[in-house]
Amino acid sequence: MMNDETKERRCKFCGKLLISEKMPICKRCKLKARNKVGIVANMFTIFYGAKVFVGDKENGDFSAV
Amino acid sequence: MVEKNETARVGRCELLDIFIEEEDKKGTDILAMSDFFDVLIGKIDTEMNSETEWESHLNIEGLFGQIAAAIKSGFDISKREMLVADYSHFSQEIIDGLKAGIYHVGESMEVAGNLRPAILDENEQLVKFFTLKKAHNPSAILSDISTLSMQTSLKRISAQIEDVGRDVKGMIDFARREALSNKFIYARDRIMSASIADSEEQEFFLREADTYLMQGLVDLYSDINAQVKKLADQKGPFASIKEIDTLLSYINEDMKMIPRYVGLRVYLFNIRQKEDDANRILGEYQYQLQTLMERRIGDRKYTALELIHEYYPYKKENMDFWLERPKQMLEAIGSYKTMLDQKDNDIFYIDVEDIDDE
Repeated sequence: MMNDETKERRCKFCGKLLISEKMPICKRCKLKARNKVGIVANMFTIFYGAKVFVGDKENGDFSAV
Repeated sequence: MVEKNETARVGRCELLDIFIEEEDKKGTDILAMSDFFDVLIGKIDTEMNSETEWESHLNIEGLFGQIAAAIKSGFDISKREMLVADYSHFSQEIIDGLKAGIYHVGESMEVAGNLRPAILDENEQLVKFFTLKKAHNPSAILSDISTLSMQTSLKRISAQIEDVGRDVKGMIDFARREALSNKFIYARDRIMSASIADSEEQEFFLREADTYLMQGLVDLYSDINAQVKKLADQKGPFASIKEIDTLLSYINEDMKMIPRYVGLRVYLFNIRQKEDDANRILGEYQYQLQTLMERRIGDRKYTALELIHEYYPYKKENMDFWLERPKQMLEAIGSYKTMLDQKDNDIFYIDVEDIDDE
């Protein structure tokens, strides 16, 4: 019977065979997730930045223009 | 003697008439052309049949295992005989079925009532008829039959790479593609000139064609290594899936082009009766694949093919392609030399008609 160490490990998201990852996720799925988080973080930064900018303008501070 | 040379030249001209479609004759993108394998296989098949007579071998009892082995891997060699399968007409489904034990080799009744060798399913139902033919003059066709087997293997490799390539949605860079097709286009021009030249000129044109094909192959091998290196460099906060997909699509294009260059070079060497050179070309291809499979790159954690595998967006039916298939490709390429070494063996050919026999 195969023990856990010799059993083949597959990516939890796409199912491909893993080679030497510690986590059960392949490089592609890991990067995809990171790229998505990056997009969300960028959107948040843009949204938050715009909000701060509008707030400053309403307060009469135009130094950022 | 003059007459004999003239016949050989005319025969060669026919063998060199391999650019059939308009795109094949005038196009500038190798991947938009036919893959040529069917044309090359057809030409070798015709030449092989003209060089020896074949005797239908109806009694296949005792050969079931060997026949099945030959269909599964393209050929099978025992002590006294070599069996080569008409690999191009056995579908992947039949090969996989034989491997899985769903299909087996046996005999089935024809409409006329005769028993004929066939692939059968678990319920003894007919899947496909085939014919086993024995060559009267094995030494005359050993090189042709080995090349035929190799071309069908290359065709299969090319189709598999084409198939898995559909999974990557990278950018198509036509300028890059044309740059890598250039040498093939120059070689095509020389082959077309050779197909209407006299024997001396023909040899000169074919040598030139081979030089271009060699340069094109070197470019492709270098490009694939450069793209893999770029792939290994994709790490840290700026790595992006889009960039990686573009690199993977370039690697895929290179991998699709290489069997076409290799196939054509081997074919031309076979026509020029330079088996050692053909063998060397296949050895180089084998070495390149082996290097991609074994040499560790970047931080030395992964080999090139492992890295491609890690980033590859597989579909369910192609899962783990870049880990599993290259091993089979290497075996197929390695078989050519083994086949050429079978100088004293009988040659049996497992032949299948193109049309459906059922």
